[in-house]
Amino acid sequence: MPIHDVTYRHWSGEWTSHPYRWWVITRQGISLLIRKKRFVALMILSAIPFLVRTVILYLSVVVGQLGFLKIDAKFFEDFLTQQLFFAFVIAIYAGAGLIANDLKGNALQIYLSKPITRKDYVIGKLGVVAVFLSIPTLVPGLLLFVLAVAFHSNLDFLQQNYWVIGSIVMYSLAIILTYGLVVLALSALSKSSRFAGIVFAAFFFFSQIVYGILHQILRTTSVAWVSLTQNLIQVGDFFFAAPPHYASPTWVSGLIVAGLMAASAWLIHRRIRAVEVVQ
Amino acid sequence: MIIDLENVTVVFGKQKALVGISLQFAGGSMGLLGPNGAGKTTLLKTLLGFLSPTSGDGTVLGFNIRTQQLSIRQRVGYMPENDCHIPGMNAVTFVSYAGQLTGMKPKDSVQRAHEILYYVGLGEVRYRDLESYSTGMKQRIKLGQALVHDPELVFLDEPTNGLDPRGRLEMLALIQDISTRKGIHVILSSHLLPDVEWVCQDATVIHKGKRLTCGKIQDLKHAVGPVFECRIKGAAEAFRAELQTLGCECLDAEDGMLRVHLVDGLGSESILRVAREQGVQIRHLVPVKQSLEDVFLQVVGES
Repeated sequence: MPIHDVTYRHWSGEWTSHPYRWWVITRQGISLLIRKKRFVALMILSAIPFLVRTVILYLSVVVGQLGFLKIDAKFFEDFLTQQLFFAFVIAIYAGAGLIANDLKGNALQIYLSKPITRKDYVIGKLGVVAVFLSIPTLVPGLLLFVLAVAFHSNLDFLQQNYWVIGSIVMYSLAIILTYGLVVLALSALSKSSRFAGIVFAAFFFFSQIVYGILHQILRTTSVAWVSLTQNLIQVGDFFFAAPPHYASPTWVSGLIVAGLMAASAWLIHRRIRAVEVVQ
Repeated sequence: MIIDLENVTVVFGKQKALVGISLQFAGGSMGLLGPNGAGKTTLLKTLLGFLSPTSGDGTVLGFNIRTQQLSIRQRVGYMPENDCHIPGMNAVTFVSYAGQLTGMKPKDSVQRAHEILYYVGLGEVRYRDLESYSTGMKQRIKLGQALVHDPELVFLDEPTNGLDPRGRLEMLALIQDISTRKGIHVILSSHLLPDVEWVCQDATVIHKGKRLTCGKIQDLKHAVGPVFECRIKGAAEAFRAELQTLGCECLDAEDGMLRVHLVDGLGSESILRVAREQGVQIRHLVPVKQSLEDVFLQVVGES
């Protein structure tokens, strides 16, 4: 008897509900990435600033050794700003291949022949980047705040700074969504993850270099809006109600960041199709 | 009705990929036949809801192709023509992932993936990286991912492409098993007529986006008039021309033979009579068993 006669059975199990179908894609993406040792090493490395800040927090609040250091909203904003570089590297590692590899392997028609929508697919892929970008930003940011509350002997700190929780969440989301959507859009543009990574890195550094040159020539920070990083820092200042780092208007930075997200989402929407129509 | 299409037209820019296709499929196995670029894959993608018809409407398993694509895909398996894989996965992970995307729970999908991989003959290599698979293995894995959620209907797009003769026979045996013994309806798109003839009960011929004919293969064969193969000596052109005036079709066959497709009502005596009138000697005249190829050539030729 051929082997297939004894192995094929009709299946009558339970289906999961559709609204969570995107999570299958996110979960699979996470499991593929955490098998890569270099990536895990990078994630561990990105936790070092958090550990350093935790020690500083402890010394300042509990031991009282660092009395000159004020633990306030700026402490948390500086931490997230410091994590921008790690977020950038992680975005490249985690996001550059997410769609490009599917395009390379013609896997989109496999995905979209299943009962999932293009939106599910994109949310699932964005979920992968978002999870890994939240590890150096949102998660340690909130954890630092919890530790700060715990290290203070009374609730004064919490009463004065409760609003910082929202600031941490909003600044982290701005970083996660901007980096996540831009790197996914670049990944959707090519079948090469290397291409997506290089273009994202070039965009990141080139905008910084252009800002640096303009800043040297014009002797003003009002041109900070040309840099992706500087725009995010400006947006962070807004969320933490801090004085802006740069002379460029905050609303311009907000508009650029929102515009980048919208343009990336549009590009992803255009590129994710089950059928390539050749006319 | 498993598939019911009414006057479906799909247009890409100025190009009509499907032109007023109407199709009814009651179940079993159906072959979509047509030369390359005929519109077979476009039709499958329209049935899956990847493409929305410019006009016309239809249902698959009772679900509308315009508005209920997700319900269709929940119940349908699709084996694409192109090589498809997700880098970094082995066969178990890939098939199980396909099951989860359809809505199976992780534990169920892994168990099911093992069963399906044995079924499609990849049991022994199921932990190997997909990128190291041969063409035959890749075809099997595509079939596996299409079957993992136990679909009611599978769309197989050129499933024997790139397979060696033995691999082709094994793949066709699997498809036949699916449709005849497992109760899964099969739509097989192929330009290889023997594949369709072997596996399917029904056939639909598509050419230049139009449906030329459809029905039970046996009926289609009978609908075509008798066919004879003959070898002649003498004024071949005049002989052919005279037969063509009677509505018959003459095609060159192998070894200098002439294949004559007669219209209904005519028999071998007509060929002999024409030969006598044209002064042509008949050296060989035998009736040919009808094949799907004859049907195909005739309807495509007529179009």
